[in-house]
Amino acid sequence: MEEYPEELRTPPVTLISLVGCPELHALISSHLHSEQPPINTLALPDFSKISVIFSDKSSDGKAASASDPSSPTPGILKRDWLLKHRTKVPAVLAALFNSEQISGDPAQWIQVCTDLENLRNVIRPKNIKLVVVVVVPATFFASSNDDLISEDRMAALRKRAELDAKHIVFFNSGDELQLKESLNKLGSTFAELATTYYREEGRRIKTRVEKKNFSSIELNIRNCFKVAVHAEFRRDWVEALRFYEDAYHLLRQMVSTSTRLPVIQRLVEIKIVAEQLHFKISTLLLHGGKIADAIAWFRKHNASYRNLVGPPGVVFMHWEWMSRQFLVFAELLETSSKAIQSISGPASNTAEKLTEWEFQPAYYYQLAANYLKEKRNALELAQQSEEAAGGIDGSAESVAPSVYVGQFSRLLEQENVLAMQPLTDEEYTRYSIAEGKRFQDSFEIIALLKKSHESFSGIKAKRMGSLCAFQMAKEYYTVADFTNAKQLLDDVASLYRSEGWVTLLWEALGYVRECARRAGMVKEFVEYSLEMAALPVSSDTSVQSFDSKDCGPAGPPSLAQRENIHKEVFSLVSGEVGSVSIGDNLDLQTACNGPLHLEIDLVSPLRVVLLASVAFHEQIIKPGVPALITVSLLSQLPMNVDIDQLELQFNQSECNFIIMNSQRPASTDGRQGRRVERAPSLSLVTHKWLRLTYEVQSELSGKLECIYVVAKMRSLLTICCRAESPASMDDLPLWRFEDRVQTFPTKDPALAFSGQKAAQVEEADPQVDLVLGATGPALVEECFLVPVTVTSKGHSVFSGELKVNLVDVKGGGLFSPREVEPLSSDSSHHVQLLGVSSTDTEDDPQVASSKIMKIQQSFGLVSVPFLKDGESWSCKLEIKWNRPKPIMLFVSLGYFPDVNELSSQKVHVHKSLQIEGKTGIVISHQFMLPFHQYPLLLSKQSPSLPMNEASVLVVSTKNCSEVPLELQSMSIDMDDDHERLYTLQHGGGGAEDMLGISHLMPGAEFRKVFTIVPEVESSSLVLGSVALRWRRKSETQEACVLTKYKLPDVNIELPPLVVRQECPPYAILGDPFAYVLRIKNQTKLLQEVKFSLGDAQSFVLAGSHTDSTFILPKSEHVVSYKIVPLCSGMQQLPRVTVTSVRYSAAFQPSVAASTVFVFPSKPHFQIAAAADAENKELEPVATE
Amino acid sequence: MIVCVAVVGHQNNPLYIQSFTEADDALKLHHIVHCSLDVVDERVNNPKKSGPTLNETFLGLLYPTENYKVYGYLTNTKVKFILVTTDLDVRDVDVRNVSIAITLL
Repeated sequence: MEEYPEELRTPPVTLISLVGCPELHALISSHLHSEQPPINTLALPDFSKISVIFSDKSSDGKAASASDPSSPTPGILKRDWLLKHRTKVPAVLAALFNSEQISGDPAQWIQVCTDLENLRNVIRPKNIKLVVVVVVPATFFASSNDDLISEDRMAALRKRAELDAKHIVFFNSGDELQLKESLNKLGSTFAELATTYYREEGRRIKTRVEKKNFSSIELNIRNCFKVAVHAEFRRDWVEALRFYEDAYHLLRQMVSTSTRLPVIQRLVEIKIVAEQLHFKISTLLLHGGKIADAIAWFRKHNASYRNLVGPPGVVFMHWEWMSRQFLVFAELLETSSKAIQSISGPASNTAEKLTEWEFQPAYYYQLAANYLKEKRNALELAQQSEEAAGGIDGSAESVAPSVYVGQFSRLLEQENVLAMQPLTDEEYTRYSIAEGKRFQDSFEIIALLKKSHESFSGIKAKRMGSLCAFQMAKEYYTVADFTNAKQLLDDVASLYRSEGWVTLLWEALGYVRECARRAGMVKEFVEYSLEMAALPVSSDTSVQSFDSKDCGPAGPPSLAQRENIHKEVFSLVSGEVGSVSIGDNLDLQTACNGPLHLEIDLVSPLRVVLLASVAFHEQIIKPGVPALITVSLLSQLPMNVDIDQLELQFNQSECNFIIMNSQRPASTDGRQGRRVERAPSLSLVTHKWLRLTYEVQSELSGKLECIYVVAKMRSLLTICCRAESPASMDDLPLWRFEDRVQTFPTKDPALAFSGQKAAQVEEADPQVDLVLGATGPALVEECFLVPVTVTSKGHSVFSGELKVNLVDVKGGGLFSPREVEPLSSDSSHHVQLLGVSSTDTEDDPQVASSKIMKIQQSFGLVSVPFLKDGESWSCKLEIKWNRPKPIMLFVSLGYFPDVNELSSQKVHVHKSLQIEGKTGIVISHQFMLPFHQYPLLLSKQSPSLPMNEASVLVVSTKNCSEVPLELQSMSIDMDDDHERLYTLQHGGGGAEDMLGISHLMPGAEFRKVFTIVPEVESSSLVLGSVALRWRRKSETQEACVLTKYKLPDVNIELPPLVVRQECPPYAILGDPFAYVLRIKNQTKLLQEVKFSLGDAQSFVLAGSHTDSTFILPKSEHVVSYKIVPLCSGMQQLPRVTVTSVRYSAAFQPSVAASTVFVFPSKPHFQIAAAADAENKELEPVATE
Repeated sequence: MIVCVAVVGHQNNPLYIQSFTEADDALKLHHIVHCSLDVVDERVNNPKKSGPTLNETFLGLLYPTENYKVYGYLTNTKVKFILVTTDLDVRDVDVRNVSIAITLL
């Protein structure tokens, strides 16, 4: 687009001219230029210059055409017409006069009149508008300009200038405001008059167009063009577009009708004019935002002219023209896309649907490059034919563009006068060919493709971008820039490879291979060659008609070509000098004298060349025992390949071994100390697995993995191939869909599916026994001992380590107690390893001190002393359960069987044992009141005990385990920070808490009775904890376990009333006895008590049935009945109900408490006295 | 005239490609078919831009080259059928019918 002249590229700008008062020109010009729309200014310092500027040289042409209308029009558009109207022919002429000149003395006034007269004479033929600007002096501050110039003088001025009053403008630069007003006034007057001028000019020519009174179509086109330009001047884009289109259509008709010029030049002129018109139309459409219309227009333009190729000798000119059309349109589209920001979608109103790419400048850049390529090819042909015809003479030098657009003529200098002489087509062709040679088309093509490539990559059209890159690379290849070409081709090949486009990959690799060859890069050359030779190009593809010229240096893809490449590359690596043509670059042969090392990994494109699969037959192998391993190799090269030697490299380098080809001469290189196997043949047949099975033996336990398979071929080539497991081996992507027999890498199909390149080497069998000797479940809170015995049975134990782990059977966070379950124990673990007690530490304290022993809550590490063969060592693990929970105990012994730890391997023995943790002892308690004594406790709080009264506490202990236990002692202990505020009596006698040997069988219960007499009144009296010492019943004296049971805090209050019921323990039929109720008032208040007695059939009683009485403070009231039993046996005494009026509390003894046994006659008790005596000491626990 | 028919797999790998021209431009057709996959991707990834034609499997005109027109058809399994024709004024309906016929083969 840059090659177009400025006046064509930019929209026309109004031009006005200033004359007189040159000091104001700069001010006015800059203001007008900043107007919207801007106005250009042609400034003339004084009136004498007018005639010089406006002397119309073109009047000659006009005169000629006017004088002879029948003569043929020499051209379509004049080259300088547009420029002239933009820079030389103003629409408005402004004559600037100082006010003194007008209002001054008569001499000045006469000068003004003369200048005006001259002006009018000059501008009248051109219809240019006139404005008179009266410049008011800066010092003038009159309120009206009328004060400055008299009315008469103004009238005279208007008459002289033949102007309306509004076209005489006063310019006052007195202050800033006035200056601004004056400038604005000038601007609007100029704009208005300029619009009028352009409209009138346009209308004048339009009338001519509409009347169609032209002698030639050229004039018609020219006038349409002029109307359109004038419309553009006044920003009437619609009319401009219409007339440009008219001109374009008329021009297209000329192709078949015009005979004015020789054929070639005629076509050239038409195309160049069409190009300009098309450029204008496209610009207008795109600036109007009609992108779809512009694209559709371009499509039509392309369709109209693409077949107008012209005579064969000048085809290149057509392609150049076509290329320029695409380039210019791409640039236009690019700039307007940036301006509009968003590209509208495919337009629905266009006749034919537009596709996405047509909205992308990249599409046009790419086609511009393609046409430029066509041009280059055609130009080369033209040059060749031209040279064959006799060469290019120097006559082309004097050819220059003519007066008319698209025309060229010869410049002749005759007596210092330049004259134009028409050219013949032959001369023009020679000129064009000579001009064409001046340009380096390849760089232009690369630049276009680069733009296209970047643009396509920007919109993520990677394949289009890739194609551009490919074309760029071909251009680089053409100009022998192999580095850039190779770089681009590598990327292109990578895309084709990943998507499996073999034919395209073949072409790209063909180029990049040649680049490597020319650049002397041997390794790359060999790699690309091998990949090409192994591509799945079969003979089927040759059915398709590939143009060998287009297929690049590698030729069309075929099996024969693959074989050629195969032979070529293997000849090269064999070092067979002269056996194969390496090309022009001799460096390649020289560089290939050294060894060549290729690496093939899992993602390498060379996997098709050599694929190595390695499978161990067993996944777990014994140390020192030979295991079978199968190495399978597959090659897709078109011809068989003989491998000289094959080396398998493992992660344990001692296992590496070499397989030699027996058919090849043995070399001793690089196999010092390695195991060497011999294979009868190491020939790789196309598509067929070469399977080799050998033994491998490892002494070290752990993973044994085959890492690399290194194949040496010929004398120079080494291919290091990463080993792959058959189980996880990927297909060869390019060969996946090829028609071939699928074979397994191993003979055994199972191994082909599951085989791994790595195997696990087991440890040596341990010859040491590890015994965990625990029996039975563990009990909570006891220190449970697990004896561990290590016995050597063949191995000596060096640096033995015993690792102990406690793991929850159910898994998960067993040992972290939850926050909601605070543990009473000090331990933060439910089950914890307390320690390890070794049996021999006492024997050898030196050994014990050097031991490593790390004990954590659930993990322990203990060192095991040196043990000779047959010796044993044992220890005991002390584990404590805080909660009943089953755990798994893992014990692992690791040791070296040899004193030299570096040479020998550690051996491990693992043992595990599940141990249940159970609750052994359950303690419970119960509070009871003394016999037949009922204090009135007012509070509802439970448990509550009466103050100063003896209450009974029964503590029960139950053996919940499955083993008999021994109880040692039971006591109630106070916590350290609490004082005992009650009197405690042991049921067993005094303060004795030792129980002697009390056996508690599984399921059995033991109870102990304590008497508590609270001494203070308290809402929460701390009673303390029951401390029970117990142990398992066993022959060995195990340590006692202390189990604590916290008693609840109790409420102690003083009962206001205490009722004691007194009646004999038994009665005798017919024998009267006393039934007494003692109601004691412990308060300092008078208490009213009501009581009543129910009837009973078995008794006759004496006393009042119901009564009410008052009990004095701190005194006791006795209610006594005399009762005679009438029936024998268990009898219910009459029920007494005592009611305290003050506390609204009723008391009635329980049924059990008011039952008595009636003997039919008086019994005889032999041990009555002894029993009575004992009853005083041991109060009955319960009479129920 | 149809000058090339291609079947392209869901990973954009060529499954079948056959040209029917006497001119030696099979390689060029390979490039055209390969590049047209960009348009298919664009239409599949940005269905809004592409208008109503994307509601069906026939993708319509993918892009015009200078001498050919490329049409596409996308199956449910993301297999693409690409047709390259030399006729510059072909009705979409005709190409669609041809595409469906190829699908049914």
